[in-house]
Amino acid sequence: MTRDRLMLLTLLTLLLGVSVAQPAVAQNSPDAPDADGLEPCATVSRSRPIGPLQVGNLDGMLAVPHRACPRAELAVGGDFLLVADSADLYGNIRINGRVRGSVPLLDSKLEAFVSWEAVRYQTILSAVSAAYLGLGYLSFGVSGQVYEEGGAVIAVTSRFVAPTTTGLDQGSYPLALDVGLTAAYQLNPALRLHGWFTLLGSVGAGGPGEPRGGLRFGGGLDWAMAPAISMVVEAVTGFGYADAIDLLAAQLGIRLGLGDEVGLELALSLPIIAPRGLTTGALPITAALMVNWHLP
Amino acid sequence: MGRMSSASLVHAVISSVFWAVFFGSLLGGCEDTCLDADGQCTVSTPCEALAFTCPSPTATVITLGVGDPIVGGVDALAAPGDVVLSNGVVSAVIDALDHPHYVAPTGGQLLDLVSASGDNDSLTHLFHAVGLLPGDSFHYERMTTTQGEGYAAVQVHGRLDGYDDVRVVTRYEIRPCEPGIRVRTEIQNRAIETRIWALVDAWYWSGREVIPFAPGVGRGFEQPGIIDPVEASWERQPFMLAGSHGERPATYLEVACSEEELYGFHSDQISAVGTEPRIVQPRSYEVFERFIGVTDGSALGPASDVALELRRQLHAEQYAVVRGQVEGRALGDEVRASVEISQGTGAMAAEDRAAFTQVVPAADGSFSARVPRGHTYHAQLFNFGRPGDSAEVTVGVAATEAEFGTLTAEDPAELELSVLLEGSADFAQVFVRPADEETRQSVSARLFGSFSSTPPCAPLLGAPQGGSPACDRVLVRDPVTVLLPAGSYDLFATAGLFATVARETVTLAPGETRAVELGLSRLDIAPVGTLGADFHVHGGASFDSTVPDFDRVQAFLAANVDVIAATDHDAVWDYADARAALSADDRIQVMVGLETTGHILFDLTPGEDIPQVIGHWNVWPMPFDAAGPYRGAPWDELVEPGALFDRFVQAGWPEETGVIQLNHPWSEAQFGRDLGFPRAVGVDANQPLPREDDGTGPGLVLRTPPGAAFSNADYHTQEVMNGTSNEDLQPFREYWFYLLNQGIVRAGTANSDSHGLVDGVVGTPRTLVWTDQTVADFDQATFNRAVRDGEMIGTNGPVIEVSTVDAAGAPRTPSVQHFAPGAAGLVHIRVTAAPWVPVEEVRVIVNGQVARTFAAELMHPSDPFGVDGALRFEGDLALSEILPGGSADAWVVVEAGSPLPVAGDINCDGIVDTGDNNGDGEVDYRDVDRNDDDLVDAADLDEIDGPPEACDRDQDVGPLGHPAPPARGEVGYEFLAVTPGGYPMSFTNPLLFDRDGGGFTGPGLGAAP
Repeated sequence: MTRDRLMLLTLLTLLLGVSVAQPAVAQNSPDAPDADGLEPCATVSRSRPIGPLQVGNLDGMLAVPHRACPRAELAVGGDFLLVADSADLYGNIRINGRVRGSVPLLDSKLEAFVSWEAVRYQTILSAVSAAYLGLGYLSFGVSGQVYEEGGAVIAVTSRFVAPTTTGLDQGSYPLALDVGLTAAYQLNPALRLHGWFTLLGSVGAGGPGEPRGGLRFGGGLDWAMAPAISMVVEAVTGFGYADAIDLLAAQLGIRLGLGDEVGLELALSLPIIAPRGLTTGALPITAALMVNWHLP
Repeated sequence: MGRMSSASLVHAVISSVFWAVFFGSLLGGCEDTCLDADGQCTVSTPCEALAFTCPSPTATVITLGVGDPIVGGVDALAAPGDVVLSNGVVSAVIDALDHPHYVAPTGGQLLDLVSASGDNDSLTHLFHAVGLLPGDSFHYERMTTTQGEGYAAVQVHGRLDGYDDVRVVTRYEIRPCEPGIRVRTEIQNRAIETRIWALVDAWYWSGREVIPFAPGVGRGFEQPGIIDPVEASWERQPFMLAGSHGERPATYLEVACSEEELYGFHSDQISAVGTEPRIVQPRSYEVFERFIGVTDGSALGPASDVALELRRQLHAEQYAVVRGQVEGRALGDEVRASVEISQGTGAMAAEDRAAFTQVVPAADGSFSARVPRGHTYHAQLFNFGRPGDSAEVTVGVAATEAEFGTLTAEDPAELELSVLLEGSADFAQVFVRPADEETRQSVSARLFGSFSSTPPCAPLLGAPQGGSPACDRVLVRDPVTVLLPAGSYDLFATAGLFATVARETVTLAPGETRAVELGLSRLDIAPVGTLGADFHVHGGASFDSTVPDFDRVQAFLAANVDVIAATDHDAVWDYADARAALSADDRIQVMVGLETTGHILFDLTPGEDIPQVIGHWNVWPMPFDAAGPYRGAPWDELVEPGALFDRFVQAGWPEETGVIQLNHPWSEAQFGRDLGFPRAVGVDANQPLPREDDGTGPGLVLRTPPGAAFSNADYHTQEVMNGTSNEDLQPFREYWFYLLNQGIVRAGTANSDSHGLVDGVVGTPRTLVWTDQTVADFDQATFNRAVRDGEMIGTNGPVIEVSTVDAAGAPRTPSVQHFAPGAAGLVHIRVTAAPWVPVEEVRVIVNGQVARTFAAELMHPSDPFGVDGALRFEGDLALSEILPGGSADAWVVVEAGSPLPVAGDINCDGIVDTGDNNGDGEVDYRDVDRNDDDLVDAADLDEIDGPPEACDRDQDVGPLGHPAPPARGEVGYEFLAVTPGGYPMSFTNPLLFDRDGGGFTGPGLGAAP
């Protein structure tokens, strides 16, 4: 498999995905809260982000749960990863400039989304260090709401991650997929719970396949302190992808709704258990800041 | 179940199926690697574009068996179990998986590489790694050999030593007629995390061996080594070369096949060439193909010719042949005349030209080299290491040949040296020193100008790494002729510490020939019943020495030592052929031993983040196995000393009569490898050593490792003096005193640690051992018992005899045996020395402190070249004058020589570390050489933001000072001439006074004298 062939297949896939989609037809606008305040897909400040925090440590946002509530939006921002393990003389710093977009498909319950690391800078620090600056990974997928009742909503999501990097991957090009369920439940007008379960897998193309699979689940609480601001706390666990138990992370976020159009999410993830987590003596931090424009 | 959108569900299912189909379509058609085949597949042939022809094509692979012939050469270590690839042009030895060498954790690496002569292995080791850390080395687990039509190959599979999730496989393949081997390495990151790799062939030279060369602007022989930041050390280069300069030299080359160029760095310790350091994503893999070759001789030209032919075939780079002629006499020697060829013109500064290769004109003066077309080339002639005539030529893009014309070599002088000892020709060594500043400046040079961190030779008579003449030294038995640049020289002849020194000053004009005879006399200085021994010497068998065995043994004889402990690094060696050739056994006893030398870093000291090794340990005698792995030595990595001592026993070391020695206990680590065990584990000499393992680094010193039969302190002797320059005397001495004060008694020794003819003079210093034996009736076990008992002194000139009587009236001399002091309470001290050895003071040390100094009482000879005036001091000293009151145990050591240089302990570990190097009368951070330029000046202070925190253990320290070197004509100049870098010093082993009758338990730290 050549790299050119891989890129072509990726683009074809993207085009195919778009071609099967139908123009979005709004049915029930998720932006307007129910009168009783128990609408899990609405925010008083229309642009405030919702759903699981969009922060993760895997390339291309693999296994980062997508929200259960479709939205049409465009977002730009970046994410930052730091892994410092002085005992092992290992440091990993990654900074991505990211563009993300989503549009409803067929009906308001179905959404296509894409996220692309338009700029990726990464440096590995050890006895010898090196850096990469170029394009990052592209991920895209669909999410479909399959349940909605009594303040609860459940969606099936799926994401594909393609290696659109420029010289970062060598010999073998990783392809990754996650499929999962994301749920949200409006506990009261100020509190919304969300949870997710994700199966993830990846495989190398062009070289030894080295298939890898695992699952993650987690949950969190979104507390709207005011119509335009909320705090989010989450716990996420992972199994099987790198180790039997390969992730236990605490995540924290703050979300702002800046009027009807512009929202902001700042998220932080701190892996406690991970191949290089706090329990191994390392300091791993992932952070993401995204500004989104809520499209009509 | 709530409301569900059927359309959504349909699309979710469609998308999942689509992804599954998509994945499946991509999984076919993987590149042909062996990374996912668990060793069952055959790695592709490397460098497939290459093709060489010859009349008798052959390629074989064999696994060496007992009795099979093995390749020869100064670094040859092939042993049964190793695999040999041969094609009649070269032979390559891949070490067996269970015979790892040096830094590599396993075999499967390139151990020996020789040309058709089969006897010029000059390769210490070539191992594979992806970085500089211990875990970055390749750990091979399986080896297979194959032989087919037109090839023979070895394939090794494994992983990175520190990462089970990184798989590696390497194929070494030899094809008929080719001047080397092809190598292909595949490596894949199966981890989930991103890593960094610089996939390299790590050519471990280890110093004093080859001089690497890489083409480049301002490069060639001038290589910066590892610089800061480390990744900046990797430089692009079309190929690399490395020539050895010993008795049977070889030159190595490497050319990348799968890449246009190599990336890497070079130092005299290691060259690392391969791919550029890069980030490696999970699942990413690399394939690196290269050709590794060897040619005869030390000149680089033949090897660069091969490299260019390889690049022509691989990368379509066309070359032309440039030729030239050197006029002069006595050509054909690399030091006498050598030509460096670089891209550029004579109008350019040398550092702006791109060095390309180096050739040695043949005896008729002709030379040639292949060079890429389309450049102007500059030929620079070097005479005795100094630039001379030059020429240039432009090679057109279509040219196949070009002519430099004629270069004129400097006309050398010729010196015929002979040395008579007691009127007869005998073994001796001659030092050639400039007699005036003009000559010194005119003749100072380094071989090929390389490695400016090493001192230049003045004059450069021969390659410093090789046999005689080496640098500015000549071994003489029968008359020997040397060529040298014109100038005025002092010629100093020496036959060791107990003979006179002779000097002759000559002024030589170009083309002049002069015969000089130097006469020496033996001096009756060595006490009756003593044998002079050097318990730490190296020869070509050591990985960091290329001195030929013949020259090595000749140096033993020229030093007039009686006993040598042959302690080559990581290999047992007996010098048998050279001893026989020189009939050496009539005059010297060689005890076959070993210096274990930790290479593989591991977690040694609790709480220490940086992995370490346990330093160096000498052991003798050891059984020599002429064909076995390490020639009989045990593998010495990844264990504490006590467990290492177990391995000595398993290898045949006689536990009851053998000797283990702690070498250079406080030397600074080199290349990240600790040289001295106590310093490695962080001993604080202000604090007592923990008697039990308390989980600290110092607690390791006395502990017995789990499962070991020995403790880490079960050694018998410790070096107090190491090396001719004696630079670390003071810290070694202080550590010895520190142990004595705690009742931890080990005998002190003095040894040269000589690795060649230049870095140290054999037998300077040496240990004088009191034994009733002679060389003729030598019994190793009896002698070693005297060594273990400490019946000895260490010296580089002065000889101290100390005696007293014990409470029973029996005579007592220094040793590790304690006794109750006699009622008379007198210590008799006698100091003698050859007239050329200045003795300025005699110090009496009690419990680690100077209790009495004799200076005015000393006698001084009037003629340093005479035979009279050996006695410098003799007298009695009452113990009551020097021992502290009370009944606490005490010890006495006597020293003689120069006053010790001022030194301080600026990191407060209880051991002096720095001299008053800026001469301001105070030892502090301003005395530290921080930029390693061997100067202490303002530039060193630029390296820090301000004064370091007082007593910061991690601050830079050193160097320790030396007495000001005497100028020509001053007292001591003769001593310095034959003792490079040194100052007179001798010490006795202790008199151990058990004053409380409970055995010697030591006076304790801080005890008053």
